[in-house]
Amino acid sequence: MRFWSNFFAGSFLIGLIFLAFTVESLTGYSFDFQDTENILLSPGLSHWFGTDSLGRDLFTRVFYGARVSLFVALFSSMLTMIFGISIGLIGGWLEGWGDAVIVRAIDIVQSIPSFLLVSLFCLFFQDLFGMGGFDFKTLFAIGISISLVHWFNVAKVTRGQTKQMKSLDYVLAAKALGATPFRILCLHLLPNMRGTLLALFTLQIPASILYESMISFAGYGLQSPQVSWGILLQEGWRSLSEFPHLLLLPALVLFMTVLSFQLLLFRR
Amino acid sequence: MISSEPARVLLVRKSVETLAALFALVFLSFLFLYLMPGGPFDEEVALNPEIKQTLLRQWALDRGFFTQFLYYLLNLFSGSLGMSMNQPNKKVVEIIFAGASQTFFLNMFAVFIVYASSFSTSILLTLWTNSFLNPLIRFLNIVAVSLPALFLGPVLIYTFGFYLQWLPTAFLKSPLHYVLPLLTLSFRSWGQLNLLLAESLRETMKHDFIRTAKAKGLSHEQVILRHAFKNSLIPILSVSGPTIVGIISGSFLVEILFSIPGLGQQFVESLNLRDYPVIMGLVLLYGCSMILLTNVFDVISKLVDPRISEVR
Repeated sequence: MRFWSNFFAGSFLIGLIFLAFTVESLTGYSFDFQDTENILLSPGLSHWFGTDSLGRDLFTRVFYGARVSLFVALFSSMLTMIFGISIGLIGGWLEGWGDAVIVRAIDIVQSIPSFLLVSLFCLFFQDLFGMGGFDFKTLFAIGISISLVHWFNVAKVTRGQTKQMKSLDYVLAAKALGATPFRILCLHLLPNMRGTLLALFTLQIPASILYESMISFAGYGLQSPQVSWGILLQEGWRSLSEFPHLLLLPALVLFMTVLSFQLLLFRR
Repeated sequence: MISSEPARVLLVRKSVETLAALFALVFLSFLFLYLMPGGPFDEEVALNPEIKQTLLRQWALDRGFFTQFLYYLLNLFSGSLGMSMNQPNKKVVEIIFAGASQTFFLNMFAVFIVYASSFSTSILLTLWTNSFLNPLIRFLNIVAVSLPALFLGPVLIYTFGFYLQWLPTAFLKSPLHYVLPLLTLSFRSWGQLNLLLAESLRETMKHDFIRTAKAKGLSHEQVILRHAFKNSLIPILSVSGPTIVGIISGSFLVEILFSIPGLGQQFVESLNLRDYPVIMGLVLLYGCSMILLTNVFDVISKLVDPRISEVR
């Protein structure tokens, strides 16, 4: 049971990444090629997932969009870890006021509904960097916004672990040898938390994928000529009653991706 | 931080901290919107500079940061959130109240459903360890945790709304209208809470007092319902704040999907229009109520079990 769920999840993710990079040469369509003779086809042999209202091949677009979605997810998860770990380490190491301020900050951030906060940040950063079509600025804006809202989970765990570990003997020994707090935190404490932090990182990736799609769906993320899963969902949403495959197939791939990450992490 | 402080000290400290957090929230959200580039009067066709100047002066947008903040605070204490900038002659409070009831009922029912269902399924999981339902619920659970509302919502809308035509898919006009939004909203949170609760129950079942209860001759059901369940609730109490915030965060998307004219849609609209007072009002409404709620849950769980640490 355990083996098969891991096998399924792993092969799906590997296949997804493989397809994301090869899909255009595999199907022979470019992601924005308009096959104007065959618009709004249902899934079939020539177009595996069908085509959209401009005759673009949906299969190509779904897996081409995976590039953007996975990039944003990886980038924002890494940023989340960096923010969370550094804040958590500082909070765990300090006593008194510094720690109290960080605890309060965590409290405030986790009290505000995250969708509200992510879309606020997203708009803010896009306005700050200047809106463009598809460029890395918009991707960075989305990535930063997601990580600015999700760091508190990582920070909570890191802070707790630091608090526990800093009174252990080897930390005292390192202190006695004259190691600076920075050195102790980075060389002694961090390596000992790597298991927990890796799990948190893997958990953050599907969350980031979901947030990217939600933000693009609501219209604060990437804009329409470009492709990401959120944009595909937004385009499919408009014609759900007549052409459900335009929304359901991208959404299914999104669901399978998130499910794979969860299966890999799920214990018993 | 191990607190062995008496209840009164705890209450005073918590209320001071809560007040500080509320003030920080007001200040930060104002700062944030102040720094936001793009103003409400930057339209595609540039306004006459004089008219723009007059408008800016009317809304005190040409003053310094602290003056604007002070104006805002004064208004806040007099119970007013100001006027909307894009819907003329409408107060922010009116706009928020217009959508609040729909959002409130939707979220309240969802919270109720999430708690009731995850309580019952987690008890079932522990009660009937060998039943065929057990793997089924477990499988459903992991699906629920990874099912995006953006997939579940449209699937439900298509199958029950368009294909079978059993249920309405937009607005909240009758009890029937609530079925699909509530299902979309609560499924994921049910999964998360059930996961935690089942785990907590399983841990509780290992304790000595459970063995004592069994040795006294209590039946399996009595042991679980009377002894184990109550004790497994303590960790749930401290994650209740974040759980409810998660449900509310999900309701933004559900309101868009099911065209519910609630606060979520209002927020999306005013963000697109840069309607600062409305955005501020919504941020404050959500932030303040959730900060109060999480702190109340904090105090309760500390009173119930003083060993619980400060940060969940």
